[in-house]
Amino acid sequence: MEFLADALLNGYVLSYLLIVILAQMGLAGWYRFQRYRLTRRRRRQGLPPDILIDQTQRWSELRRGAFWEAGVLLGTVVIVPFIMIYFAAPESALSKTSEEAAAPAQAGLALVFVTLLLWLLLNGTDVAKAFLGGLAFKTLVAFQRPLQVGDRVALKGHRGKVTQLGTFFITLQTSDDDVVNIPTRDLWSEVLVSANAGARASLCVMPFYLDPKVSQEQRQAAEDAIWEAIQASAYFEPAQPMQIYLTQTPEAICLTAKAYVASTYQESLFCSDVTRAFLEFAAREQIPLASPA
Amino acid sequence: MHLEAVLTIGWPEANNSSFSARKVHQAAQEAEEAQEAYPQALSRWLDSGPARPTLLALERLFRRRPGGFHALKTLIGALSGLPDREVPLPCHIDCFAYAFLKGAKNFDFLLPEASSEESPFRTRLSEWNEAINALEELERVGQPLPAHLEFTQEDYLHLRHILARKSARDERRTLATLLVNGPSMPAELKTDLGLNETLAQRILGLLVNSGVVETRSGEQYVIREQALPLVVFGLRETLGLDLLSSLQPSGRT
Repeated sequence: MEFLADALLNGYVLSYLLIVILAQMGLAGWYRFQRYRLTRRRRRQGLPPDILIDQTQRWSELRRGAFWEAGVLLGTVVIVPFIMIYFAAPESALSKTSEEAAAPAQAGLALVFVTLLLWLLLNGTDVAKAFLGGLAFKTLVAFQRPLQVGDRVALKGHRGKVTQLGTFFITLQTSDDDVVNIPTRDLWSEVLVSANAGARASLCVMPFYLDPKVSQEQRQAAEDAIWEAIQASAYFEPAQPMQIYLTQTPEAICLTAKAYVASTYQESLFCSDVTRAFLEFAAREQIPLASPA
Repeated sequence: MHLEAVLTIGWPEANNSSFSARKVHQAAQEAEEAQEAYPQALSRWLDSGPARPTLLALERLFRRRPGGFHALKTLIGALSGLPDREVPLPCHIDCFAYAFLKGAKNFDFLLPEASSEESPFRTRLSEWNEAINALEELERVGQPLPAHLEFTQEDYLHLRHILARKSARDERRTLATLLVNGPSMPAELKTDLGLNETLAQRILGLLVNSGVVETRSGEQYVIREQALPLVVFGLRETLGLDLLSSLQPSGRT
């Protein structure tokens, strides 16, 4: 027992634990400091806090951040004890440890290292699970790119724009301005659906329903009207293709328009523009629309 | 007949020129009313002018609104159907109108960009890319704009203040319409965007005060040439409209 106490209660073990904890705190503090510097620099240029750029995080920045977070954790947990064991060895030129204290110090370091490693591997507590699961998912996202900040996504039944990709939570802002925080570690086994996958534009699908008794000329005129309404909208992305498909049901002739909105966040306005133009056309030309039976 | 597009910037005045696309189209329509076929009238115009005629201000023939493409499609379609000449017919068209028509109507198939001469747009493109990159760096990391740009940081902040506001939907749409359609009167914007007249006037007044838009011939409103990179960047980041991307040299996005 005395040996165990000597092993665990010594300067090397304490330093090791402090390095592991302070490294994580230091990294978080460094990022916070960088954000503060950026905000101050922008304020000096007369810019408000919100950044106008659509994709606020470059992939390179995300990858660098994930690399540093994972690297600092693994480096401090795995590499530091070996360095300290070397310093603790009495035969080491840099060691100031006496022969009697060396053995317990090295044993203590080894014990704490193995314990930490098992704790990491087996996710000993909920906080560890959340932290490690979230960090691993963030690292995966940085390199595999299933989603990124700014994407419009559907996660765990919630739809919204990703505003933050944190280690503990992914934050979504819904169309009703609700803020939804989803635990990051829970997303490992989730299906991730992104409407725009990092791009500005996304596809909009807009159905329009005509009365089944419309004439061929009316149907063609309706199709032309939808086509022109889409191209006339200020929200339309002209560089992407658009299509109109016809389907028929007993209740209606359905014209489904598929076109890209230039900014995925303007999807509702885009659909509203096109729908308004179509309804005005239908009223003007007296084209009958489908009505519920 | 082969046509080629020469991309212009700044919507140079051409309304009174006999080579203006609007005048040529109007003359051909009048001839059609007098029982002469539209393509024949065009052919007569080509034969009566200089050996190497040029069609100017093609963008004035269309407006981005339902039914606004008809005149342009008629003219280009008829010209393409005429017999080939010694050299392709150069058609001057604003770069942003061309970018829009290229994507929306595949106009570059009928009207590919001229390769024999460098257009005004191509000579300015690298400056614009540099300006837009500088605006990105200003937004992303707070790096001040270089002094040699044609606009100042105050110009950008003034425009940004308008565009960034979430409720400035009509202001953004108006700028996007001016960018694609070119010089516009308030009544035209009212029809294009479904605004009421007083709102259109108010928005245009606001944009003139911001230094981004100027008046021409007293009645038409047009984006200032020096402010084009500002407007392109601002609309890209708020509306997602990136008209320059389809005109970049291959290998650059």
